[in-house]
Amino acid sequence: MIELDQVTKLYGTVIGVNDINMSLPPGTYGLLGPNGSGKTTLINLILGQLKPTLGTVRLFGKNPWSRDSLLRKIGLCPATEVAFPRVTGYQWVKYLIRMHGFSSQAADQMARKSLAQVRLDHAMHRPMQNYSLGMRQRAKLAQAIAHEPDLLILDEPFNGLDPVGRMEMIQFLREWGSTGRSLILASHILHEVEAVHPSFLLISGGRLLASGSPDQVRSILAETPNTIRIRASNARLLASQLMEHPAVDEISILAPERGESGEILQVATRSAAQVYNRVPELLAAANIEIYEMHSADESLGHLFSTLMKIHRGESQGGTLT
Amino acid sequence: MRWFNSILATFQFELINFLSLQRLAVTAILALFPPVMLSLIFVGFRFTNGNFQFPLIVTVLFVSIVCLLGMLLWATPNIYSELEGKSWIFVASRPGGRISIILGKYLSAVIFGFAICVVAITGCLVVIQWMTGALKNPIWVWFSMNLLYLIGCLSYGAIYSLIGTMFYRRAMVVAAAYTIVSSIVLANVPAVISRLTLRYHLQFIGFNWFGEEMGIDIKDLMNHYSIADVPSSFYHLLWLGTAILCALSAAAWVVMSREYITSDET
Repeated sequence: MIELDQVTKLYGTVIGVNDINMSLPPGTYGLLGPNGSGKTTLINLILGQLKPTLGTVRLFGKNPWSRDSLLRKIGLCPATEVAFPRVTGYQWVKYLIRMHGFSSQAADQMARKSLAQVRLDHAMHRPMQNYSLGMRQRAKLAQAIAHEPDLLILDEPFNGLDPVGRMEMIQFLREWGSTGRSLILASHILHEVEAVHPSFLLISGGRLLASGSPDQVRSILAETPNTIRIRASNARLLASQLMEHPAVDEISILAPERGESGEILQVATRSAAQVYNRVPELLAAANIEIYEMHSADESLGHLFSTLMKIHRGESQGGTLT
Repeated sequence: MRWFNSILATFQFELINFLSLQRLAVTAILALFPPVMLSLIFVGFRFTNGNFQFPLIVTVLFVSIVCLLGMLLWATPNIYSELEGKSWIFVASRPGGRISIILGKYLSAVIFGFAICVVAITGCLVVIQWMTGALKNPIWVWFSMNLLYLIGCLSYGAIYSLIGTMFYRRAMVVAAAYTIVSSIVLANVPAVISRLTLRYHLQFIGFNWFGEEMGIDIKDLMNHYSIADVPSSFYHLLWLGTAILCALSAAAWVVMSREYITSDET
């Protein structure tokens, strides 16, 4: 579906994306990266809105830069916010559908249908300027899906959505993926993207650092330096036993939150996976009750700093695919 | 048909977007400026017991100013207004969206600009006829003047659309500079270069159609440009039509082949 061959995009002397190679068959993809990492540039290269400085981009087998007709197959929900003072959501969505070449009558039906799909039909005749951020996000989604594209590209679609809205968005995207149509979801929030069950594309500093399934991403995290938090009934005993483990660098004991039982053990390790494997044995042998265990650094920021270190050769572990 | 639909959609959307109090106020001020100024000049001459000899020339001058201002305001920021409003990517990610936005906005700018001219011309001719009653064929003058300004709107709109696509960040400045250099400086130069300006051709069409009513001998104009005979209006219309087609084609080519980068690119 999408092929990028050694694609680099420069804005003058600033690097947008750097030497990206990837081949994506139809499917659901989560494009993850911190703000300013090159996600929007990559999307615009795929859409043919930008011309690569080096390399080639193929979308559905064709060069998107010179194939305007390819855009008929794509629905784009960009990150940018729009708010027209006198234009209603319905008028805006209908206008953008007509820009695909549909007649006014057909566009009217498609606009109503898509606005109902995103649950904005109750407010579709209100001026967009009066919309909340979440409502604008829904209107943007409506214009992207109205013409039933083969590939839906969403850039930060969860921005401004309340928890219910987020859940509905996740549900919608899951359903979209289950119909066999393709989806690229760009975000900087790991758990929201993860909820859609995509394959991951991890981008930072304009480089594609890694790609793979959620499990593969987790294994990268597990096999790299990390900090683990364990809340257990006898954390001090567990600490004394974990100290002997060669992968453990540092252990500290923290007081639990009010109302929580046990104590919190914070373990800094060179290989979280080894600690994760060892802990159950220790717990069973010493009869320690465990309440929770998770990585303290399981954030996208940590993941990317780790991947960048691996990329630069500063750290070992993790498999870049 | 598909493109026509897209252009029509852009035009209709621009109409909805246009209907703000601020824009309507600007339109009203522009449209009423020529007749009000003309009335004031007449009143001034009455106070001094003077004779206002060439009211039609002053009408052409005032209407030309508001016509150019209107086209400058609405045709020039075709790309920049989309980039500034962050709506460019929505349009550009549609097949033919880039060309549709140029032609749709051009069409709406021409119609808004021409509407101003119609009101201004009508107001001025009513004032002239009321104050002097000197127009021999006011209906013909009204009709031919409106037609001339429609051609003017189409011509300047096309050039400003091209400037808007090429110099989108400084489009208004470049368009204003173009207008001053081309329509004020070059168009008055008694040399071949003046024939490359829109004003040269528009003014000859004007003189051919209602020059007699203006009270100026066309030989003065011929002497100024050192030409032996006056080409027909058809020649000038052909030249302007070609210029419009070239400018719009160039604008379409530029908008299709250019990257418009917004601050959101990361």
